[in-house]
Order: sequence, then C-alpha cells, then structure tokens
Amino acid sequence: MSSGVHPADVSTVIVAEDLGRWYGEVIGLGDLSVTIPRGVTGLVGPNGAGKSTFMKLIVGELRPGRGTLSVLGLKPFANRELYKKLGFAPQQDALYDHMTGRAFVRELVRIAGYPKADADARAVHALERLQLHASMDRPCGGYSKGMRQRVRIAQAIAHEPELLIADEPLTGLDPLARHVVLDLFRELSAGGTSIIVSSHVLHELEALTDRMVLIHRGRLLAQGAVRDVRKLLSRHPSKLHITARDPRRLAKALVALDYVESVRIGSPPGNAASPSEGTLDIETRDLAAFQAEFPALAARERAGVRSLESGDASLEAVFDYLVN
Amino acid sequence: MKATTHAELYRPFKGTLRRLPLSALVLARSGIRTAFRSKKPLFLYAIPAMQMVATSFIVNLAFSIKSGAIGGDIGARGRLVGAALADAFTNVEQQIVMLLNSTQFFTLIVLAWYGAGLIADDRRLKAHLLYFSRPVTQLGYILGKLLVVLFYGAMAIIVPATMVLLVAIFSSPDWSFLHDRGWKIFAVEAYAFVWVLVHSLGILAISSLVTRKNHALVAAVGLFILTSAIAEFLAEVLDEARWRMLSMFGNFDALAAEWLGVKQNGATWPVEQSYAVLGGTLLVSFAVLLRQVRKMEREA
Amino acid sequence: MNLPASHPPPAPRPAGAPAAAAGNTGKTASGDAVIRLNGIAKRYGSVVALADITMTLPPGPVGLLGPNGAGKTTLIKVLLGLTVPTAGEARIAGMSPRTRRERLELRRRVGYMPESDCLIPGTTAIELISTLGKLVGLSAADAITRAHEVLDYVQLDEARYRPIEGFSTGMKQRLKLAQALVHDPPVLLLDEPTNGLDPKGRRQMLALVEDLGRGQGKNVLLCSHLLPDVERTCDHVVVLDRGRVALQGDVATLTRAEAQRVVLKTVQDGARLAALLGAPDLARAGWSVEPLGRETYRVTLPEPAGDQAAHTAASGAEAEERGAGGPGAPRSADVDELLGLAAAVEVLVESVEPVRSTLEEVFLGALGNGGAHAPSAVGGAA
Repeated sequence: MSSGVHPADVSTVIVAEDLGRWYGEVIGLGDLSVTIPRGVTGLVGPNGAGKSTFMKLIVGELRPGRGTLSVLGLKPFANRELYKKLGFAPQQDALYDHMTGRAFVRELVRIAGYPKADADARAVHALERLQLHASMDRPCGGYSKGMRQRVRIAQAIAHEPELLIADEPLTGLDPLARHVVLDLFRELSAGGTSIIVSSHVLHELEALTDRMVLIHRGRLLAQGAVRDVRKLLSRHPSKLHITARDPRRLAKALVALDYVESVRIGSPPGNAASPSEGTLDIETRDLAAFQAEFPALAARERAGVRSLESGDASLEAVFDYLVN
Repeated sequence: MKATTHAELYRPFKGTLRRLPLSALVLARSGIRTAFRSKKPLFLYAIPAMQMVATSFIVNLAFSIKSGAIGGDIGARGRLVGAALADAFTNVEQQIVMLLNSTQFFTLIVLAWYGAGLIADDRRLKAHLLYFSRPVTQLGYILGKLLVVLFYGAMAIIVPATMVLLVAIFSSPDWSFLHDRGWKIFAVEAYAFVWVLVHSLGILAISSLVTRKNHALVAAVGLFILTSAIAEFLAEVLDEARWRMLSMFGNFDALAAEWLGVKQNGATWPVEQSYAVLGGTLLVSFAVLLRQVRKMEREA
Repeated sequence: MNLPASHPPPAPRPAGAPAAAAGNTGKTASGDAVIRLNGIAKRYGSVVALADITMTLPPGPVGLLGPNGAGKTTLIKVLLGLTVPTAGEARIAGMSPRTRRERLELRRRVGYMPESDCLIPGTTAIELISTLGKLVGLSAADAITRAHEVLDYVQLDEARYRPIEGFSTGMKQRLKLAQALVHDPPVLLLDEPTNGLDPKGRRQMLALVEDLGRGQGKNVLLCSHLLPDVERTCDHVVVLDRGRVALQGDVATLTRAEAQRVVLKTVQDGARLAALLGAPDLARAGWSVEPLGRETYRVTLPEPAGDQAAHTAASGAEAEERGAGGPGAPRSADVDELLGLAAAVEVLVESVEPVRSTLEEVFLGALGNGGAHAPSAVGGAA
C-alpha cells in the first residue's frame, strides 16, 4: 500500500493525499495520506482520532479542507454518481421514528435512483438479511437500539453498493445480532463488495479481516496486516506465554538462549484446580529464532508444555504499542 | 513506630448511612446550585429588582409625606395633593399587587426558564435512574424539583414583596403599618406564595410531559400567554368578565381583591370559583407529575 | 477481602491471557449467597418480561448475559427494588422486594451504573457524586470524603472540579461507575460499562470492574454484550433467554480446555507438518489433523497410553486425575510430542493452544438449545 498508486487503479478503492478537514479550529482530520485496496479493511483509532470525519469525507458528506480524495476513482463531495456505488452506515442514530423500517430503507433506496417497486423489494431483502423482517412493518420508534443499528446497516447495503462504509456497526448489538452482521459482512466481501469498517472492539475486527488502517490524532499511524505491523515494532520485545507442567525446568533451558530477554514464572489463575501446572512469560528480541528453536527444545526437555501463545501479536496489543 | 502501608486503591466506607436522608432537600440544594451556574437568566431578575426599588422608594416617600417629615413650603394645595397621593401610595397592598402585576410576565419566564428542564432533561438523559436507584421516593423527587422552582420564583416575587413590606414597616410613623395592618403582611406573603406555587407546579408538570427543555419552555410560556389572550378576548367580545377565569392572571385578580382588598380589572365572579380554578390547576398539575414520575420510576 | 496493607494495582492482563478461574467452588454455598431468586416472574399486562427466574448467585463477579428482550432490564429493576415481581421469592442483600420499606432499604445496598448517558450537564463531578452520596444517607462530611475517594479510585483527577459536559466518553463512564460506588454497597449492577469506549478506555474500565469483583469482593453483576469482557472479569455467568435462565455456570467450567485437541498455528509450511501428522503410521497411533484456515490446524492428540505415563514425575498424579476426572476434571494433554514432530520437519510454530469453547460459543449454544449445557454446567447453583 504505497501512496503512488494511480487513483483509477482498479485494485484500490480509496486514495487520500494530504487529506485534512477542520471544524472551526477543531481538527477533524489532520493530514492523511493513505491508499486502501479492495477487500475488507478495518479502520481503527482512539476516540477523536478522525475516523468518523474520514468516513464522512469518503461518502461525500463533508468537503475536504485540504488535500485530495478519490473514492472508486471519483471525487466524493456531492457526487451523485458515487451515491449509487457507496453504502454508508453512520454511527449517529438518525431514523424517522414514525416511519416503518421498511419504508425508511425503501425511501433511501429510491433516492439512490431505483423505481418504487424495485426499491421495496431491495429494502425487504436487505432487512431480511439483517433478520429484521419480523418487525420491518412496525414504526422505527418502537425499535431497540440494536434494531435501529441494523436498520442503518440495511439501508447501506440495500442498493448493493460496490463499497460499504460502516462506522462502528457493531455498537449496541447483542451477541446474536453481532453474529448476523459479521456473517453478512463476510458474505458481502465474498461477493466482491469492498468494506471499510471501524470498531473499538478490536478482536471482532480481527475476526473479520487482518488488514487495518490505524489513525491517531488525525494522521495515519500504521497500515497493513497486523502481524506485519507487529514486526515493524522492533523496539518492543515479543512476548510469549507458555503453560507447562514443569515451568522451572523449561525456564532453565530458555534463559540459556541469548535472544531471550526475560523469563517470569507464575502460577496460572485457578491453580487450585490444577496444581501441577505453571506459566512462563517470556520476552524475546528475536521471535523468528525463538519460533525456530522452541519446538525442538520443548521436545527435548519434556517439561509438559500445554500451550504456547503470543502475548502481544494481537491487534489490541499492536494498537496499544502504537497509540500509547 | 510500627511500619504499615496503606496503598490500597479502594477504601471501604466505615461509617453508617443515615436512616432518613432528606432527599428532597438534597435534590433541591443540588438543583439550585446547578441552575445558578448558568448566569445568563439572572438578568431576568433586573425587572423585578428595579420595580422593587421603585416601589420601595415610593412607599417610603409616601409615608414620609404622610408623617409630615417632608412638606415644607409646597403650599396648601400642594399639601392637599400630597396627602391624597400619600394616601394612595401608602396603600402598600395595592402597591405590591401593582408591582407583582407589572413583573408577573418576567417572573413567569424566570420560572419557566429554571423549571422547564428540571424533569425534561432527566427524562431525556434518563438521569432519574441515578435518583431512583437510591432510596428517593416519588414524592421526594417531586418535592426536590418543586423546591428548586419555588426558590427561583420566590426570588422574583416573594423577596420583592417582603422588601416593600419591610420598607413600609420601617418608614411608617410609630410602626403604625405594623399596628394597623399587620395581618396584611400575612395576606401579601400568602398571595405571593400561592402565585409562585401554582405557576411552579404547572411548569413542572409540563416539564414532566416532554423530553426537551426548550419544548417545555415554549409550552409553558405559550400556554400562559394563550390562555390570557383568549380569556381577555372572550371577556371583551362577549362582554362577560367571567371568561377571565380562564387565565391564571384573572383568578389572581380575584384573589387579590378578596385577600388584599385590591380591586382591578373587575373580577365580578365569586372568589370561590377562582379558588376552585386555582385548586383544580394545582390538583391537575400534581396528578400529572405523580403519574409521570411514577412512570419514570417504573421505566427505569 | 479488604486487604489491610499493601494492595497491588489492578494490572491489566495481556490480551489473550485466559480468564482467571478463581477457585470459587468453595464459596458457592447458598448460605452466603447475596442474590437468591426463586421462580421470579414479572408480567406487564399480557407481556411476560420474566417467566421464571430461579438462581442463586455465588459471591464475586457474575456476568448477566442474554439477547435483547431476554429480560435483563426487568431483572435489574427487580434487583434494584424498582419493581415488584408478579410471582416468586427473592432475597437480595438480605432484602425482599415485596414491601416498599424493604425495596427502599435494598437500594442502599445496591450500586447501579445505568447504561444510558444520565449525566446532567451543569454540575461538576465532585458535586454530582457527593450529592448522590447524600441521597443514600451519607452525612455531608462523609459524602465529600467518599466522593473524593471513589473519584481517586476511578482515576478522575483534576477533572473532578470541572463541569461534566466537557468529559470524554471514558471519563463519563468512570464517573458513572464512581456514583455506584459512593456508598460502598455490597452489590454492584453494571449495565454495559464498556459501551462506546475505545480500546484504552475499555481496558481501564475492565481493570476497575475486575478489581471490584475479584479484588474487593463486591458482588458485581455485569451486563454486557461483549462476551470477552465478561470472560475476562467474571467467574460465573447467567444466560437469560425469554425470561428464563437458559444457562448458569462457572466461566472456568464452561470454557474448559479440551483434553485431547489443540489448535496449532504455524508461521509457514504448516502443510508439511499436517502431511506428517496425517501419515498412516501417526494416524494409527491416534493423531489426526484438520485444517482450519490459513496456517491453522486442529490437531487431535493420541490418547496417552498407560506406559507413556512413565515419562514424568507428575505422571502418577496425572493418571489419577484422568481416571477420577470424567467431565468434572479433564486435563489438557501436553504437546511436547507435537512440538517434537514440528521440529523434525522444521516447521516454525506460532502458537498451540488447547481447544476451548469461548463464552460466545457457550452463549450461542445455550440460546440454540437451552437444555443442552445446563445439566453439566450448573456448578454455582445450590
């Protein structure tokens, strides 16, 4: 993902160069240069990082204050041609309480340029995909928070856009509804729809895609696959967590390796249940060397290794290293 | 000294909880403080305050003329006029009713301003959950909110009335005001209190029916203006003074006539009917409040 | 519970660490249960909000789960003494919600953190908390002292003197937690405390929730749609579905590791190891492998034969555990041999973990078939 890609390149959906936007003196987005390819991309960052501003710029709700932005090869601001290709599920709860869910989605599909009958069929189909068909003929005013959230997603997908922008689509959803939405996103993605999705719940995002764009203070902080980004953070030694029957024996062998920086022995939580088990927390400068050597070492020592996990290769850990 | 460390982050509470927290007073105090933080509406008090100063001055002057402290060489005719004027101006009840009448619209805005958001904002943000998850009763909640409006209403009505009464007491010769018309002090205070109570409760009831402060504000002010205008219009067109009973102001005119002997605008109907209207208003407001607050507690 | 001396700060655990399974099996005697409900039902006209809630919650942190409309909100109202159940018996912190007097008394023993915004602009944090403290019955002096203590605890520093309208989402959530704590109640009802928080704010909040439940011994009842949050902070969960308890049990039991199956992630060339494991001689020995996706495999380990146990000193105890355990105490086998095979074909191992059902799977399973998990899982109920 370098910024030298041509905007019209079919493999990219978004090209932003020096993109910025302010609200008076309040900065929404500072100076963002990023190229986002087709597929599913997670957009993450702390509160106030500029994610929502970026999304509003992408869908053409806001005009860029500086820089250029190209979405599917088009300039997004007030561009009717793009409306049909884009779906946007905003974070704000903006439904008309007196309208039924079905009418609400139908009217928005009509605005995108479909005749009434077609729009209704599309609205019903989209609401069905979000498992709202049972209540779609009731007014939105009586919907729960999770249902309103799903209506917002339904209106974004009903016209089968090429690119779906979803701002915190999982907030307020119960685990069942989360499941429905995540499955829907996977289906859409398999069908060729590109998705840019933001979320604060990083493990959920990680279950959807491993490609992330991390913005912080209105600028790009990192992009790429999580494990590749983690590799770039070489000043943080890699952490590993091991449970074993005889942790001390394993520890003795591990401290002998010169790229292992520290080994801490602990007892696992709930040790009353399994007294013959302990944990090791390891920090190493050279993860690849560790990974190459550990299997043989464990097989040799016979210390009863039960599990080996990375302590800091998750998106959440990478996010913390970068943001703090 | 024995070494100890006390680095625990969470400290348990070792004291005891009082049986009877006066939740209404706690709520009222906090509500008054919170409202006071926005300074802008305080300018609304300028009108009652100026009126109060002016009325106090006139009453003081009138008593001075009457007692002969001022007089000098204004001539016999001047003295006569002066005495007549002084008679009028030392009718303190009338002065106060005039004072209240001339500022009542501002007072109403003051009340609406402070009262409109009290319950509506709670409902919008579901702040009542913080109260009803504690041993706060519905009545305690209503009373706490009412005390806030009453406080700001009292500042606009009861305080000026009291000030004028005090001026009258101290400037009347030989405490004659206290001797001759002492009971009127209670009548005036009662009148002012009923005025504030009826309007405060009405505004709170409106506030409890909506979820936006501005809606309550518009509804409250609109309702009072509308009823007054309709009452006045019907009374004029149909030439029947009783239509003025539709408006709060008309009923308070009747009350002023009965309690303070201040006749104005021709309240021709028996005062009992106004009692009924005012009592009914109080009752309806309270019933609405109780119903809404009960719903708020249940809906938590 | 309240340590007299030094108490370590609630250190956030690294992501991915398994939820602590505090040995709470000894504490579940119904004698000291703070919340005990028996056949609680609540109907609004013809609408049944709660059909039959029977549960005894052990002390300590408990997750209250359920899809929207399962009855969580109504249950919270019962627990807060805000509503009178239509039927059933309840004992919450020594109070029954039957009489008005006991309902009001109950509210002094419960702290509630609502999900909604609920903070009225115009006050400062310290003023809000001390006022709410007085409403529960703290004296003026106690209220201000307690307000500062709980604000210290939730780490709202100078901000406590500022009007709350300028607060960030994270600060508002912590303020809402502080108000629930001001009178130091034994029971805490926390409704979606991590809602809207960014990762840093969420971790901060979870560390507080965890400390309150595990460190301070509060009876925390955590309602959350984010099941990993519940898994991290709670020892016990209750799943509601259509007004009934669909599942109740200890998190450690419900998400227990499987004995013989592990998930293996390789850095690259995992196929080489998979081919080795799938070879006839290893398959005969009991190995099997199933690809799960990119460089990820589910590997079934062979049953340990009796003579294999001679390897280790702990083998005696382990064999005994296996023999006596049954479903109550399965043990994950070690993967030394698997690692040895990986070393033999020079495959780099990224991670290997026992197959463990997540709380999410447990939850979905409970809703799909209410009875399926219940018999083996009702560990906490008396």
